[in-house]
Amino acid sequence: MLGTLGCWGRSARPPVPLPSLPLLLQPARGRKSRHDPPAKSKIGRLRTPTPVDPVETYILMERYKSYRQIVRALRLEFIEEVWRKASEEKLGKLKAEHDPEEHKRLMAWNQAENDRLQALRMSRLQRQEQEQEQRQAQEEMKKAQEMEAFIQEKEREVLQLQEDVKTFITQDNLEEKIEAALNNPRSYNWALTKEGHVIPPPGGT
Amino acid sequence: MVQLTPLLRKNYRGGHVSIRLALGGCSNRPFYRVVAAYNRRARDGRHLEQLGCYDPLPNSHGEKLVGLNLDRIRHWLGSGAHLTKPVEKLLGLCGFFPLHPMTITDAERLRRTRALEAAAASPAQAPQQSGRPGGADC
Repeated sequence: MLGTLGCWGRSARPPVPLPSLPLLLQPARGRKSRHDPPAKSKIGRLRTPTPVDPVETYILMERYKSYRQIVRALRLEFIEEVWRKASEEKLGKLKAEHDPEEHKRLMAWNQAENDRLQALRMSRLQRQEQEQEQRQAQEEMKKAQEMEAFIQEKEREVLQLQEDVKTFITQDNLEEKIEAALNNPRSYNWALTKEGHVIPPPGGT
Repeated sequence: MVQLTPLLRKNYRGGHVSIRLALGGCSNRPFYRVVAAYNRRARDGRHLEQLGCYDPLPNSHGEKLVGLNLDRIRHWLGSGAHLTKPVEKLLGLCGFFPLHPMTITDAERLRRTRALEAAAASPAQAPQQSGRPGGADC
């Protein structure tokens, strides 16, 4: 950005005396290029530094600071505007900016749908929980019943065994059992049909 | 078919777009056009777009006329164009930009010199009342 002061600003020059004759011909500026040699009249010329008013310079610097700040802000704004226009052209406007009421309506509808589905979901979950609880209760009942049945079965077996124990042959009643068996012979001469019915012998011996 | 236009067109490396005054008109009658051109082009050479004009000589009503296409200037500034000092001063005077510091400083200096001249002229006028054409006219 241009605007830097190459040389310190021109200060309040000494007041120009009233010219008796106004200058009609201004000297042609920049007649010589940088490659032309300086004139002989300028051999011993020493340039004195340009007089500068420090107060004015300070005020000027402050003015430049604020000026550049404002101009920079404006520039950035313009850049953003151009960029936004280009991107809008390229990508198209968002529906939200295009039609804010439509957008609001659609968002509200979406929210309503979500709420409805949420309600359904909650009710379904509750139902499922209840069913789960019921199933669990039933299973527990069944298990308890099975346990009971098992216990009873075992008890019955134990009782049966206790009764069978009475018919067992031990060392004590061995001789009595042998005598009993010898005294009461049993006949196994019976026939079987194909269906499995027993046909006892007629009369039998 | 061989494409020659890209070869004939001037291709730039680096450089920037400038919004500056291009001089036109005739002898002793300047006329400037506010123009967006590449930095290294000739002053009056090919430009990208003309953004306005400026007539430095006052018209019959004492006005210096300036025309500016602010919309396009905005666009070019947004695309990163630089400005020259005269264009900045013009924009400051027309209100698009803040007033340039040098405009204010030059005005202050002018006022000061005029005040000094008036002060120098009035005591000089008082003793010499024989119609000397005094008067701070500058």
